[in-house]
Amino acid sequence: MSARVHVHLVGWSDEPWDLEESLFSLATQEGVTLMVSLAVPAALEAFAREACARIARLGAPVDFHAGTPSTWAPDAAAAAIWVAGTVAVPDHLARSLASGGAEDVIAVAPACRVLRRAVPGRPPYLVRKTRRFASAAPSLEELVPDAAFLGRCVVPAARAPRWFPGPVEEHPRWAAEAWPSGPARRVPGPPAVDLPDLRVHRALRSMNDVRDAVADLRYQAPRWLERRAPLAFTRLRGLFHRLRDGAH
Amino acid sequence: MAAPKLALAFALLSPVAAAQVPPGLEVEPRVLDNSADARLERTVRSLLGATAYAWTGGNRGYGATHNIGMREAFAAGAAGYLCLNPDAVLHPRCLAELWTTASEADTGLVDGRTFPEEHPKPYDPATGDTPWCTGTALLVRPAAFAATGGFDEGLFMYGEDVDLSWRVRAAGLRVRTAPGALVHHWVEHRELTLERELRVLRSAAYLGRKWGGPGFASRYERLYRVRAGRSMERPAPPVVPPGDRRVADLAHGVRFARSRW
Repeated sequence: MSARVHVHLVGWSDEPWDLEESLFSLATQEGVTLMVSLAVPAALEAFAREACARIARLGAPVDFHAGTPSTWAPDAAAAAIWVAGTVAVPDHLARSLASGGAEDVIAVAPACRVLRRAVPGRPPYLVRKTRRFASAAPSLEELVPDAAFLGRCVVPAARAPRWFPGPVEEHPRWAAEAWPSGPARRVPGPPAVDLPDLRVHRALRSMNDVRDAVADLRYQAPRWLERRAPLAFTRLRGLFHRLRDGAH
Repeated sequence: MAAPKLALAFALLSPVAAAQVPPGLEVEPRVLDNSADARLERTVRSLLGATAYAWTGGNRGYGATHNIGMREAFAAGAAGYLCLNPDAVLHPRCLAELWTTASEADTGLVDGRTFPEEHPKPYDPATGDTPWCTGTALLVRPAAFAATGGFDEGLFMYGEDVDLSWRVRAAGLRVRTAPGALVHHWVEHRELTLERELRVLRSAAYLGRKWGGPGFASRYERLYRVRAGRSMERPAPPVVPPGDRRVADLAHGVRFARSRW
């Protein structure tokens, strides 16, 4: 029997594709059963009902509930709060649970920021995707620059505050209640979650921004070399592995 | 295609059971089985009907297999042929979105948007025009097949979608992405085995030789030699006329287009 996770999906705009993509991502999560509650703007309520019915026909083990519930699902092992537009790889929730859930640790998955451009009548166009830095024990200060940051967090049910945040402005307060009750830990592995980039200012303004830029460069530089000089890339990769293996 | 039975069933059942099919369009699922034997036959026929299955006699490669399917489908008057990977799951709106885009004038190929890891190749957000279409869920119109004869069977796996897209564009047809056509196909976590890497390198060298990029081809032939410990049998593809090479992009490595990330 796989563990049950309650995901509360919060609509933040009138963009229906954000909902559609988050629902598809939730329906394709593996190794968990899901309860998904949806709080969406009034303009999207009818669309949300249709989208849930559509996705349900895929046969995934997901229960959809419209509106904000009064409590977390009583049988849920963990809780997560997604802003519509959040998309995760299929093993994200299962790996986060395995990484932190049993020990009452908040699991924080490595994530990317996705900058999108609205396109009338079509899904938003993904302009850029950048890696975020993630420390071994992520602090709230490190996470909150992304308004959608709770999408990368899986919170053990025992540590989830008993209320449901609405607009993204309330999410840091919800997290601030959860964080002091125990540790938080980064889930190992590559980025598992794409967060919509809702920032107003995108220039480097803090040490966090610099660490994000370095994290992205560490990923992009080898890819650039691989495209420009694949032979040199292969040789350097071999050298790197020999050096790393020799260090053990 | 060789695939675990469950993945095959899920992938095929999802579009059939959950797809929103536009009025007036009939969808006829068909499994082309590239396995070493025909043991999937009973399962597929029981799930999808008696005519839904064909065993190809062994692994012919992606392009050669779909060529069989396209020849049959277009000979029977099909208005489109969807090449679908056996491990892909279509969003319920996917077929309708693909078809809407495919129905616009001069469209030869339409691909879906891979999910949850979107392919970084660009597309025009307003028109969907894209440098090439991925083969994960690729809708081919009869005009594209008539103009090209389908996939180049010299490419066993990888790059055949790029090559087909370039030939379709060279023939004056449009190659487009349907941004609303989400196709769940998660492959980023798969290990890049040496066998797969060598197939990529061989395809890259083949495309370089075919599309007038000898330097590009040599680079990947050298890399093949380093990785395999032996030289690649130098491919001898049909060479594309110089006038058609303008559509090819050999400046961005094996991504064959500028990357958005």
